[in-house]
Amino acid sequence: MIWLVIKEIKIRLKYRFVWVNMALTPFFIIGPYVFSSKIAKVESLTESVLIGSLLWYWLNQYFFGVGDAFTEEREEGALISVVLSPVSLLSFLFSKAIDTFLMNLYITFFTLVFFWLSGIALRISLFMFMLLAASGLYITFFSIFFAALALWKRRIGSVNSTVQFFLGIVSGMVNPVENFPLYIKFISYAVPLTYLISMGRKFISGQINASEASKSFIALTLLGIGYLVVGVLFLKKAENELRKKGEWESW
Amino acid sequence: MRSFFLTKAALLSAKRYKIDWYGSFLSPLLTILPAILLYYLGTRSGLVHFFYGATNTKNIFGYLLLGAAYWNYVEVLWGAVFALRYYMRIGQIEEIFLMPVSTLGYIFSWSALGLVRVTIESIPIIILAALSNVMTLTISGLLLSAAVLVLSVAASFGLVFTFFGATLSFKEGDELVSLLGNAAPLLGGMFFPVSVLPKTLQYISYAFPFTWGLDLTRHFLMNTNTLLNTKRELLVLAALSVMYLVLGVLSFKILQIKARKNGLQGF
Repeated sequence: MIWLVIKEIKIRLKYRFVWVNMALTPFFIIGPYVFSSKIAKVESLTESVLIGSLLWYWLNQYFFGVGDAFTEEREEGALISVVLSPVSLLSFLFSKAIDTFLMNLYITFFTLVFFWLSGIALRISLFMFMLLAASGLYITFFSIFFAALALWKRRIGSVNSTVQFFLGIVSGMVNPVENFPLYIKFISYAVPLTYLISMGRKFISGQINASEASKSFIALTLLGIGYLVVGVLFLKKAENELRKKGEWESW
Repeated sequence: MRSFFLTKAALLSAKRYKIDWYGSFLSPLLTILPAILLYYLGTRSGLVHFFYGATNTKNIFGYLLLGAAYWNYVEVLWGAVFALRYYMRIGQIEEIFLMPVSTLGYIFSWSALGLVRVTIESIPIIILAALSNVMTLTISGLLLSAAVLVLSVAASFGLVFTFFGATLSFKEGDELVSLLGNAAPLLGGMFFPVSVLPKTLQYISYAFPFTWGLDLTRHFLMNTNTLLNTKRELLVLAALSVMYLVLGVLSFKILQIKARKNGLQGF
């Protein structure tokens, strides 16, 4: 698996401008929401939107990197090689997840630097790093579920961005989910990102305590494992069906 | 004529995959929804009050919808560069350039497909934008904003030519388009007046014709404040649009000759 990660990084190293793009793009994507909140000149609101939208951006990258992992290989006609190689589809997805995690760290560093240069600073600590790492793990589980769906129903990848925005909104990327009506909250708490954003916000406002953090982590873990189990089952089902019908190359 | 047949072929392919349309239909609305929620739920924090002071409108919903509709039209043309990169990736670029269709023909056919798609996809936001701005709509305002859109599309074509040439020569032109496409809504004032941005970003945003185009479109349709006097702003937009178009055509010609000389193989 580690060789697959190295391969991904080596390919990316060939394209220098990709690195410039990755360093700048997140600032521009989440900037509109962060600067919109800055209009009010309330520092806590800006910080709250920044942490929410940053964690949402991590989800975006996992949805493209892991959730959409099969699409590009399929379009290039390389998916059949992935299937024939002695690496399981799950290992292939986890290698994409590790690669995405490393890219996300790179992205986060530059995003925070650009916001700091624009007068918006976020307090970085060990807890925040742990939260981002945890987000990587749990959102990977969630993305595997999406990747399995995309393998099964080929064109689902084309609504990837729409799904990301929908998930961001219901997870409270700009507004705390507490402000939403009950029926939206019901959807919100089924999305792992909601718990991560909530913990991040409570941490920066100094309102988090050990018991609350552990409760959130337990809920997040149960939900994450649930998505992973369903995702793996879907993946197996889709793989078996494709092997039976021989449709690896069709898209 | 051949490029029209290409557009028809692309439209027929696009028709096959209906799910692609659902995503494009919803994306512009979902992009501005977080900002709408932020303003709607942030009334007490003073966001709306400040917004009125900076723009002369409390119709934040209409302001954002107009921004999204305008950007849809400007940005969709850049899809021609992604189409080119797509053919490079799937190994069909050589075949494409051996066909009896000129490179300009490809650009126009892929752009025309984009314009048709965006017109269909933008129906919900255009209707919502018109309904939410019905009190400030006038015939002259509509005509003037249509003229501004034409100028903006001309400037956008200028960028398409440059990026198309760059992709042929350096392969990574699509990354540049992607970066610009992601930066443009923030720098062009889709979400709020550019005066809210830090000074350095403001200077960059003034170099884009779209900043002026969007500012004028909103002024003609919503009676919002403008960055400069309206006549001066129209002149700035016209000058920038002509400049981008001329530079775009020139750079495209130079880069295409270079690409054909050095070969297009490999990506």
